[in-house]
Amino acid sequence: MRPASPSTAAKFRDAAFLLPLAGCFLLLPPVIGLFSVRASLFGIPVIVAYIFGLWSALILVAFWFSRRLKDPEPHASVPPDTTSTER
Amino acid sequence: MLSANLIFVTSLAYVALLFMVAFLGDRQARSGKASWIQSPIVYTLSISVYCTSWTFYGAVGSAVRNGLEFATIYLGPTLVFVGWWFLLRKLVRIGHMHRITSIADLISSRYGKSTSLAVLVTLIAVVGTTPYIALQLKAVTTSIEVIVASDPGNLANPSNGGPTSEIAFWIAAGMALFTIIFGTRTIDANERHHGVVAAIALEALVKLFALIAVGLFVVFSLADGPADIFSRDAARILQTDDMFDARWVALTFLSGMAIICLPRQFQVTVVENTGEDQLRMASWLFPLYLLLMSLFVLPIAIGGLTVLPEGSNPDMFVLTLPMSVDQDFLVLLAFLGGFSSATSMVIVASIALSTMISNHIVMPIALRTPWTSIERSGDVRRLLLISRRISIGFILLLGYLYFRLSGKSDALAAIGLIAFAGVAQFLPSLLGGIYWKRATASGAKLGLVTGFLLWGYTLFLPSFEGDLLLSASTIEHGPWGIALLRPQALFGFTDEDPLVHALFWSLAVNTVLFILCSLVFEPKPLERLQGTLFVDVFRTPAGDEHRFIQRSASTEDLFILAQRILGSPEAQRVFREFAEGQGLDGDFPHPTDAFIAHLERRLTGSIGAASARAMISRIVSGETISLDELMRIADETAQLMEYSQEVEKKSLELEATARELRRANQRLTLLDTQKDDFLSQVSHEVRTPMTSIRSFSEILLETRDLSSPQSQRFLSIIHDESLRLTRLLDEILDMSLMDRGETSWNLREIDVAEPLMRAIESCRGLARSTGSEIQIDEPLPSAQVEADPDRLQQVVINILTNAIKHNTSPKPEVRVSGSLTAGKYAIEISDNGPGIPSHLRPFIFEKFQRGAAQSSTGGIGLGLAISQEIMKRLGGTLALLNDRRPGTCFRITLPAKSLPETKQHEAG
Repeated sequence: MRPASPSTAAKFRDAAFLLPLAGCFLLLPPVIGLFSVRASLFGIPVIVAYIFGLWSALILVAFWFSRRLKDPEPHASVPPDTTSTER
Repeated sequence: MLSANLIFVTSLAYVALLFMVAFLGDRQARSGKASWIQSPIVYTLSISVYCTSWTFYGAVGSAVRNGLEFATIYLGPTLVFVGWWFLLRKLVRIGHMHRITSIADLISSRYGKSTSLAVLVTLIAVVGTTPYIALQLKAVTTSIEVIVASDPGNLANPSNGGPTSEIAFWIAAGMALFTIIFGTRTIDANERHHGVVAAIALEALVKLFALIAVGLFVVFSLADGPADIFSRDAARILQTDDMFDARWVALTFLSGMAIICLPRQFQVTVVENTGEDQLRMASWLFPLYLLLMSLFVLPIAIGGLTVLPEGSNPDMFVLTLPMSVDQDFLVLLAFLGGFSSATSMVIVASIALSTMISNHIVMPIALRTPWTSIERSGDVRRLLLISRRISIGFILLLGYLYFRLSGKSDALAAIGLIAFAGVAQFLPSLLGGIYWKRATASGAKLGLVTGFLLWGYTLFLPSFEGDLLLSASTIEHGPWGIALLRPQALFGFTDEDPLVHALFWSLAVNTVLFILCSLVFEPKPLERLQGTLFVDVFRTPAGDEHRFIQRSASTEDLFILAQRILGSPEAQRVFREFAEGQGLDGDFPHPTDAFIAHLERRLTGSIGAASARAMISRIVSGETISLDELMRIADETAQLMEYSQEVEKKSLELEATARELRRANQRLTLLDTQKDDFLSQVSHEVRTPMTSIRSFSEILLETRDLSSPQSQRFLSIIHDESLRLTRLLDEILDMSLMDRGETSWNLREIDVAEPLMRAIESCRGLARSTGSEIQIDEPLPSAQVEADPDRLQQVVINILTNAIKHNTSPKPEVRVSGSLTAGKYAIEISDNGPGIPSHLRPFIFEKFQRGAAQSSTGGIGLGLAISQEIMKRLGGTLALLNDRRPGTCFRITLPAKSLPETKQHEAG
């Protein structure tokens, strides 16, 4: 992970909260209803292109965020896995 | 056309491959070489058990029947995963910290390690999952039937009956064998089942590959690219007009919940997780997997509708499309894809359920039966392993029976969403448990029971269409004919889709009861402790519980207990490691609170929180839960924030004080310098007249024969100089009195023109002696001011005197004018003298400054300073005006009121 200032990290955390919210907003009515038209884009119906395009965009943004999100509380890291080796 | 034998051989070969992969994965993990098994990619692929045969085959059928609706099943999980930072990460962290073994364990552990809650969640999970397993069996058997029993010409009506149930039985048996071999090697459910995970990851790839292969075949071989496919019959399938209604929202929501609450999803996402980095990658890779899985659903659906004969089963389009053009290899691949989807779901679901049954149902019963008191090493461990194996067989048998009983009806097809809605009942308790400290076990129980019953009444039982418990007429008209209680139109909700209707009632009542009951009843100490540890999981250091629970036990008892559950070697290892941590030589650590808590957590990973606590409780004594300590921990963060705010405030205050002190110090230094200057100036000023007085009096004393006029002149010089000295001392006295504010002021309401005229008159004598003239421009206006008339007169005289004395012009002249505007009286006094050189202008109001070279009769330079001070005290100003005419112009202003009747003061 690249080093980032605490304020940048906090910004990404806030943005990460917004991502699923934005997804809900765009994928649920009434917004999605705006694209439910009988037209097509390069032969693909607009609504299909919209859903799959938005889906890809969500994945791309999640990919971008996934490397930049980090914990503000360093002391509470995951405890080392102390599971046994098999008997 | 594929023969039955080929299908069986292929299936067997595939299963053999799975066994081999699982075996290799297990062995590699054991020898510590298999880092790839723990990689985030394998983790992500294992999460794809979400895509069962119901989605593999059924998504196309759903697209044919309901258009885009199939996408919601994938969009819900996508939204949950891209928001992993807030929910999944917390679940995974809690899972690690508390060694959670299943979703039942999580809920029970959170609510005070409650056994009854664990049993309740387990029962709901079994009821919700068994039909789902039956659905997988049905999908596999149907796919075999379709391939074997039908020729391409008869795709519409695959023959029913025949060896169906036998196929299903052997499939179930095979899966049970696989799961028992690779899923119950160890009792620590917290450990990853490496072999199973490796096999599941392979299956994930197979089903993805198969679906994409069929999709590509449809789009590019049967049709002419995506545009061509959509040009065929897209409009009928998409039915976009009333697509995005309440059902769309409900399905998205439901599938998002299912990805957390389904026991098998909880198993792969939370229990099998080994680190946060796995989740970090899954947050985008799993949505990508889902996207690829659904990319070709629409093309296959459209292809099936247009290519296959009318009336073909859309749920089998994935198989029948390649069959219709005799693509045998593709058919085989598609079959394997569906087979993979089914087997992986059944394997993971039965592992998750068997863990729950053995930990939460078998263990509590065993703890209460007398024969377990024969306390031998490893007895509990053996019991657990056996009960898990039996549970797996039992679950698959249950699924098989379910399939036998209902296989003929269409009820199974809808069971996927019905199962989702069933496990969705966990959501209020789950979310409330990890975000709300006040949530209590009684609230969770009441909410779960009511939600589950409502789900059964409004959705599950009606799905049998009168074959189970509820008769067809009850479903139609309500129990005893009461229309308000109709299962699919409760309290008159008639318009909604049955799924939306059931989801609304069950979840709403569940949530409301959960919250109300939590608010009404006080949580028990252990619930409160667990609530705080769960909600604040990111703020509580690991393994901190022992700070709150005090209890005592003998090391021997603890060891016997550990041996029974973990087996001898593992128990010895745990004890020795902790003893080393305590700095002891032997194998037995001190039975401190920290050690008991550590051991309990270790046992929790094997038998679940409730059972571990129950077993520990049998041998410890004097347990107290320190709520004070708990409160203190809960407040620690708040205190820390408060403290840092206080420190900040203090430091700000300190800084302000320091600034104030610095400023005061500067002022003092300045005043000190000014005082020194003043003293040296005064001494200098006093010294000059004193010197001349002394020298002239010496002459008078020492020279006897001085002529009378000469001595007369000397005496007058001495007199003048002593007068000057007196005047100087008077001024200094005046100045210092005024500086200290001790001057007596005779303030009263006066007409300002009167002291002005008096001052002008008293200066006329001096003016006449130097040949100057004082002119008053216009009659000075009268105005009422509050002032000391003598002081005001002193200021005017001072300025007039200066103007007269320093005027070197051949025809000296001084002008005085007065005006009253806007409550302000202004007096201007100007002369036609040489003026004040610009470099001296800024300093003329300072002490001991003189405008020009000292004149013989001049003052000593305190006059203007005193005048300005006086005007300041009177609330007015004295200022030197800039650049008017040649000469000097002073302006005096005073706040004033105009008099009603103006008396004109003429120049005298």
